[in-house]
Amino acid sequence: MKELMKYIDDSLSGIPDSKSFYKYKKAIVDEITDRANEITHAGIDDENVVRDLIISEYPDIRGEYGRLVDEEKKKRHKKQIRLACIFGSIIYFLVIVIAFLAVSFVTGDWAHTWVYLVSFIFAYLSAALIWIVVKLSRRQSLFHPVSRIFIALAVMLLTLTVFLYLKVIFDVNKSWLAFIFGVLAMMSADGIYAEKASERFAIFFHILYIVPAAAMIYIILGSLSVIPWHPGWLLIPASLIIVLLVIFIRILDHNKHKSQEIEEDSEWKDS
Amino acid sequence: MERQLTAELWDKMHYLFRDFNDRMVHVELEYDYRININALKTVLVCAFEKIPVLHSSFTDNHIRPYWRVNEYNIDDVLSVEEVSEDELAGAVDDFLTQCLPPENQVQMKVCVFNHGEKSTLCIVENHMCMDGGDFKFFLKDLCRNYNDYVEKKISPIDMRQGTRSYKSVYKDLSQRDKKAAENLYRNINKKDDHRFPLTESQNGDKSFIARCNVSADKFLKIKSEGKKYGATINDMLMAAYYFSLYELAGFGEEESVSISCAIDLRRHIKDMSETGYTNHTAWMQCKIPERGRDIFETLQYAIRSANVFKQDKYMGLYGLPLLSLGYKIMPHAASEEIIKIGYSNPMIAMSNIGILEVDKLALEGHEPVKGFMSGAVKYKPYVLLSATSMRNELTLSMCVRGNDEDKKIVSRFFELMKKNIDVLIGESAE
Repeated sequence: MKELMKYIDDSLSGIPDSKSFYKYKKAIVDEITDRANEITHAGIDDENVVRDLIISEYPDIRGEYGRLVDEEKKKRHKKQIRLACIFGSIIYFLVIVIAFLAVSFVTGDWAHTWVYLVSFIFAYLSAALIWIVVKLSRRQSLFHPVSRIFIALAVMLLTLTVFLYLKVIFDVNKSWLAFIFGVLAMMSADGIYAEKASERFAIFFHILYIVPAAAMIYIILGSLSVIPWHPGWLLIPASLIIVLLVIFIRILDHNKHKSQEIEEDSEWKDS
Repeated sequence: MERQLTAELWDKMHYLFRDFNDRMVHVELEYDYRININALKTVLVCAFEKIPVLHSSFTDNHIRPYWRVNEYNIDDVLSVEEVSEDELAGAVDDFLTQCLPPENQVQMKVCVFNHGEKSTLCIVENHMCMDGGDFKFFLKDLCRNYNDYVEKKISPIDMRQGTRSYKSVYKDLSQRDKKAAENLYRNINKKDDHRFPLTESQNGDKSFIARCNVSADKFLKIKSEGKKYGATINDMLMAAYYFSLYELAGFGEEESVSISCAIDLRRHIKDMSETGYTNHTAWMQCKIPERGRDIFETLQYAIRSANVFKQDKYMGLYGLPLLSLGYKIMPHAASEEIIKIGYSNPMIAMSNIGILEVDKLALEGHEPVKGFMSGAVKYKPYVLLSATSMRNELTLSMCVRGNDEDKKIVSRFFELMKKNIDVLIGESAE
């Protein structure tokens, strides 16, 4: 036992005293004492073997303590972030409501100022949704559909904000086009997410989105008179070429992987 | 505080097999010197400490079963008996045919039978802890540690440790293969009602281990003659097994029969250093369309059937995700019932455990003079033929719970095996 205690002391030498260090050292001493008793009870009477066996089970006491301290730090950091989020949110809402009331009372422009308030609320909700998406994406693919719904919601909230600014603040004609653009952005965001998250059927979503996306672009460009309605509609059938191109690229990529696979296997067999 | 270990997929599967076999893996190694018992005790305790599942009890919790780690004493594990040469065979058989219940405090029992100036080391262990493949690694590690301890005073603590999860079989696959293998939900083993012709189960049935040795000369010929036909040892044994079975059971020549052959899934693992002792065995169901006009045609059928599996890079990995899913989504009690319906335990099987390397099993420079390893004692009508070799001598063994009539049937089967092996290697008297 003396040697084991020396091993603990040597391993932990130079670490400044603290409450957590004292707790950790006490726990290690207790654990190792119990283990030594267990092993001796099991039938080993060679002290060297007992010592070596226990040391092999506790090869890095110092490193373990370091990891424990890091973990505690991480936990504290997490707690601080959580508190910052809660208090930050409360302060954010207080500030925007006070700002809204102040601006409205000063300018008397109640017909327009509510848009600022609503846009800040939507921005907050969008940020919250994106934060949830980031969290869910780190988990199993089972949660990916939920993430995709949240992305769509976030995009729609931002679209609505843009629409309100265009319609209420700037009184832009054809501001309704923001919604068409919103749907286009939603499909693009979903396609990118499916690809980045290596969704199994990502290719089908790409194919499914291309033609409706072309129709949206046609409506936007046609409405803004960038292209004529006729023969601008040709954009829609032309999008089928992009569909075929996507399929072709995917097949090429798949075959490339396949040939790499065979190589790997044969190497493995040789070894 | 109670220490618990996760019950892995194969632990639960072997527990499920309690209706089909006694789950014990057996080994016998005879040394021409007396083993140092004190050293062996120390080595065994170290091994048990490094592999806690060996001193754990399986707790059949209906929701989530687990292993409970127990305190133990080496006397619960190791026993030493002084026997005469005449008593040896009986004593060894009695020891090897014991069954350790999963709820037992320890999952491995060791006995050293001292007779004259020799020692016979016998070990039985619960298949739920490790299969024959890892049991061989365990024995080699045990012997190496014993030698290091006795000869160099090095503490015998060098045992493999790590995960016991079935998922280790995926870890060295390429990302793409891993993804594909993890989606192999298909169960490719089909039910076959052909049976080994043992008697019906009776109350007085007792476990026995029947063995049959094939000389080194003949074993080497199996290897060399096999090459001429493009057959492995396994194929040659399989052909002899088939041919003997048709004759013994009286199956019609035109009948298609299947024999399941154990596959070591470690073939998919490149680096075993982070893998603990566990089970990594699956079955390949070899099926021949008919007996064939002679044993050489049977051999061709056997080769063709085995090659279908060997050419598949996911060999043995089918059905694992399905079993895992079964255990994951339902409470244990329910998943057992569902898996029992879908899983067809092979009626007739073979396990090619392979070579027992004498140089690696040597103790203090004394190589084992003879020995064998065998799989679990099967309950009728299930049978498993185990094959091991030592010093090029092949040992075929069959562990059965049966009566004297069954002993005669198995003995007749081994005679047929010998005869058919002789035909295959061109030593037939006919």
